[in-house]
Amino acid sequence: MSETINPESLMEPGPRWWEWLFTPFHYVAGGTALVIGVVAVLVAGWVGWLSGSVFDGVLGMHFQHLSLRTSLLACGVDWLSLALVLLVVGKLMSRTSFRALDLFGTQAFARWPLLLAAVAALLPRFEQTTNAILPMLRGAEVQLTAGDLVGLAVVMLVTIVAFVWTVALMYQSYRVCCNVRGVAAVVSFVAGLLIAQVVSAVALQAMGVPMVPANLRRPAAVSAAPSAGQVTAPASAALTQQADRLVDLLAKGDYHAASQGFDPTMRAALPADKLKAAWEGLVAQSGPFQARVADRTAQEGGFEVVYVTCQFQRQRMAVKVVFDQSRQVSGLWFVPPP
Amino acid sequence: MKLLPHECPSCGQRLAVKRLVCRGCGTEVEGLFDLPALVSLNRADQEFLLAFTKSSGSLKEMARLLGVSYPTVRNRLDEIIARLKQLEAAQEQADV
Repeated sequence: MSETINPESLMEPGPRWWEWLFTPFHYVAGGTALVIGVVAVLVAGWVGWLSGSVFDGVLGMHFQHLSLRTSLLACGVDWLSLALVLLVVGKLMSRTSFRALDLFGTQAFARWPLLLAAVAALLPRFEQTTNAILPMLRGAEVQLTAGDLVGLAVVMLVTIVAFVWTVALMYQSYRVCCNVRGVAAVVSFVAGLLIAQVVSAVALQAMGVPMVPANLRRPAAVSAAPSAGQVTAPASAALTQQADRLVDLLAKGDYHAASQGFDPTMRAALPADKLKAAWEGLVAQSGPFQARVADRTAQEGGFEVVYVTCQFQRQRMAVKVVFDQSRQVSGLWFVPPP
Repeated sequence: MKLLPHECPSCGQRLAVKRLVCRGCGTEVEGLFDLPALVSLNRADQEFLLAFTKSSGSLKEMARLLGVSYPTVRNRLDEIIARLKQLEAAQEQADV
């Protein structure tokens, strides 16, 4: 053996592009990984906020509009939950000493593919399409174009790939930083992941972050304590979808189609021409229609009611749509937003 | 310099040293001497340990030298430690 060594003989060739993507922690850990990772976590939270999605759980992503602060907070809780749990699991499983900094840094870094899922969710009409899927599965009539479904499929594919990729990086971070290998590494990582999922859910609940989007909550929650005139939790995503569609048709000026969902009494009282006059009166008062901005549902006098708040050029007004038992429109008002 | 063989090419067992020679006067010493465990490591591991010693046992410095992350160096060192323990155990078994 030579007495002197050439450092270059020990130095590994720099990482190639696929190594940066799939085995980055062979080359990056500690403070560098922490800085990159925290930036990635915050950017993913911000883009998620822009796209109306939130990472509510270590491996959770739902579509709901929360404040930017809550969105970022949820991302931080997800990261820290898994890092903390894996720190404990790693201490139990590893036969060597390791630095918490490496584990926290690389676990943050491992979450960067979620940015892809958040960006994918920015696709136009994606939110409306996802909101329509559940009512469609329940048998409601919804209007979706082939483009909507292709867009949904693309976003779902990107999201699945992003999550699989993230889990792979999380595992690699745990394996490299804690030096745990083989079956023990896989089993302990999966156990840690499951525990962290529970920990993050409990932490987010404690912080008041809703874990289930409004449009997926059980309608039973509405009928528990309805009171007249009070806006309560959503009753039916299908009715919301139907009310949104009605407003869209009014905004397009398709009054005939808009009146198709009316019950016989409403159809007689408010035929297409009168509906046109009513809508144009609202536009004359509030300015041209610009966008739907929110939906709220309530039970009033035994009827399901959806308030569709709309932004007009001069003010906001809500279209109050009342549904009967057969989901036909039995009342329509233009009222101040609830 | 030729690499020092440490495994028997015939049966795979650890080799021992039978003869040593002085480069200065040519005196030869004959006997049966065990190879130290460090010498039985492969060349890459020996070079790693030499560099590690020269860097005052700093894993951070080793990470910089090798162009890899700190935990990667830590894991490499753990692997070498495990191999040394195996070699020592094998030597004790052979002595028994």
